[in-house]
Amino acid sequence: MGSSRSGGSSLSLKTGNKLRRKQMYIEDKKIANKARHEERHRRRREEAKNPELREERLAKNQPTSIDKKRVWDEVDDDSLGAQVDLAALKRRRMEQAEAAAAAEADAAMKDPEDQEDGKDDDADSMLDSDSEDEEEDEEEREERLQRKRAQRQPSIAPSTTSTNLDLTPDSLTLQFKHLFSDEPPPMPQILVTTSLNATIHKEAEEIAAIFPNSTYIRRSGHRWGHKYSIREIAKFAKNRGYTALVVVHEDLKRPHQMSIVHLNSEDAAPGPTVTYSIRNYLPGKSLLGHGNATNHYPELLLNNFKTPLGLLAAKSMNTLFPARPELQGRQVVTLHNQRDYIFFRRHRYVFREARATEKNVVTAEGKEMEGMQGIRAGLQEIGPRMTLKLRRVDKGIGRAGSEGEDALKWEWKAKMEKKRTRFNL
Amino acid sequence: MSDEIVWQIINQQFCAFKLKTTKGQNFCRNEHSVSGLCNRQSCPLANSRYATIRSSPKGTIYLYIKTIERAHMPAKWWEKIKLSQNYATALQQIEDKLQYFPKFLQHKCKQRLTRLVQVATRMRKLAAEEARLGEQLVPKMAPKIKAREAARERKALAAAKLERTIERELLERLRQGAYGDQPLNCNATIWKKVLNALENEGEGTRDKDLDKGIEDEDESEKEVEEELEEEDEEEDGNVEYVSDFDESDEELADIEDWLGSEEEDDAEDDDDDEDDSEEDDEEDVKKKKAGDKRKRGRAVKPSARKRKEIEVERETERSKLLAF
Repeated sequence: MGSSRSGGSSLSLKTGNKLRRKQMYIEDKKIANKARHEERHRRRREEAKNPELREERLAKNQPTSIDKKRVWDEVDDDSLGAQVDLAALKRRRMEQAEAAAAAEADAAMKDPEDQEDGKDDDADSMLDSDSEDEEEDEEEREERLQRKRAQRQPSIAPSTTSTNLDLTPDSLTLQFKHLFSDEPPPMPQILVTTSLNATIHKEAEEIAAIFPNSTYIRRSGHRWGHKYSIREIAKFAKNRGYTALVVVHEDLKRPHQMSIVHLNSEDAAPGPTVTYSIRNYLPGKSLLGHGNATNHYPELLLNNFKTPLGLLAAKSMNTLFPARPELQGRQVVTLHNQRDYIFFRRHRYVFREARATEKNVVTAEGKEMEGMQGIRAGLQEIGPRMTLKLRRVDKGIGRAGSEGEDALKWEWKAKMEKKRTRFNL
Repeated sequence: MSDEIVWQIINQQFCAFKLKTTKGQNFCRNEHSVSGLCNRQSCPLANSRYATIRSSPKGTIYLYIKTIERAHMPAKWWEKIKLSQNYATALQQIEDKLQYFPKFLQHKCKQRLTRLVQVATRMRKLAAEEARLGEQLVPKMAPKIKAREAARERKALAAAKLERTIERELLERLRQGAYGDQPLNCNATIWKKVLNALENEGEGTRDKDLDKGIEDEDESEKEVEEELEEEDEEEDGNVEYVSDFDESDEELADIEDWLGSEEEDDAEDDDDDEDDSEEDDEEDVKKKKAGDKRKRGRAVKPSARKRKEIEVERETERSKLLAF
């Protein structure tokens, strides 16, 4: 008469008798666990014989993440507001251009063919040689295209994480001529100040220390003194040869916002103002095992800036640091964009041998980095750490100092975050 | 007469506009009151002949006059007269209009005008200062949005894997040769290891590394090495019979001599056998060669590689022979 276990979990949950239900549940679990155990061991035995199976399985079972599910705008637009992956856009456009060229070649080819066909029609109408010719041409063309495509594919792909500033769309270059100009940028001189009546002098000094060639000037908030506005300060700074003005706003004794006003050279009007909100500001002292910075020019790492807006932010950060880093200083400043949050970190690094317990470094795709077996980079964090989030881009000096219809280039709005797979940078 | 009655009722019984205080002073909340205190003289309800000054939201100041003639038409009690923006002329206007009114009302109206003008001036000054400073108070973020952003930031941080990414990027840069051929941030042993590893990799021709980062002019060392290898092969064409795998010093010297003379010939040789994809690299390599210092150590590598290849070729030939 054996108990009916065929219902599986449903029956084991529905039975009214608690004792029997308990037993059924335990038995069900045993069965499931046994099945799973056997499956895993069978798989293990198979994969021990054939390691390729394991790789296949791992490659197939990639865990999904929000970054993998990222949704882009379907437009062919590359203006500031579009959420398009510029690298993918470029590739798509190249392919379209290719297709267009092939189509043109087709058209060009067909014209002489038609003339020939006309002559041969009388002679070979029964033999159908024309279609064969066309096919052959098509095949040749395809082969040519395939060869071209194969040549273009890189055998060792360059890093996909770091930003490629060459992908800047023309619309952006036109809008921000001075920022994206082809001339080598001048050595940055940065003036750091705060909002009125600020008390975060220490944090502002630390932020000034991040950028080489920077000075921190306090902002007067005295009742009867003349309070200089940001526009006035920008004018004075430009006269004195500064390239950028960084304003750190305060909220409740903490740095709350950071505005970077690009002061361009004499011939250009002060350029875009990029405003970020600061969160989780931690000074170096609070980090365990932190290092001390030297005054060497750091290297800059700009990771994951994919859209036009992201490129603008990356370029703006680029201009704040000297173009030629002093490699002997072995310092690196990282601005890593992940889901619209830009993580700012400063590290001292050293290339060293891997210890016995350390694995090899893995590329973004998941494969081991060739050529770097047994080499690792040790990192020690220096200095402040914070999270920035881009909030607005103004044409001129802040909201008040921008004129015209496109005074506000981009503004963060809460409704942009409705879908959790859409990102702006 | 009716004013008296009204006042008695207001004062002794009930007035909706009266505000009592503990100090004994009563205030009048009526918007037409000229002084704001609850007095027989300043009560707008208990005086059928009354005058006030009020300002509009836009800033213009009006004189409101109430007369007995209109006492039976409450909807038309107040006569509204716009005063000039000029303070002196406004005062004169008040004097004109309230010529036959009690001195009390004239005086109070002028006082009120003064105060309102001062307030308006101060407000305008503050607004101008705000506009000049251009600093607007950033509105606080809604708590829901703040919490959402905090949670997303935490998850983004976990997804970012910062230290790993930074390490990977730095090693990528080292491998791609962004640090030049004698990197200042790498010690000699590690650099040698990297070079060895790069050599032992496949000879697949690499595309030009698009990732420039900050270093715009630096080249991939590997490309240069490959070209070196190819040049050597071209130059020496045929197989050279070598007994040992290890490099001997004599051959070292020979190779260096060859390389010394080859540098000028390199450019021409490159053009012969390069694939299309490497055309870009040549120009850059030429530029690099101008300023490049060849390390002696590096000169050894291509020859070792070439010899390995030759050895392999020879072995296959032998095996073919042996295979019948």
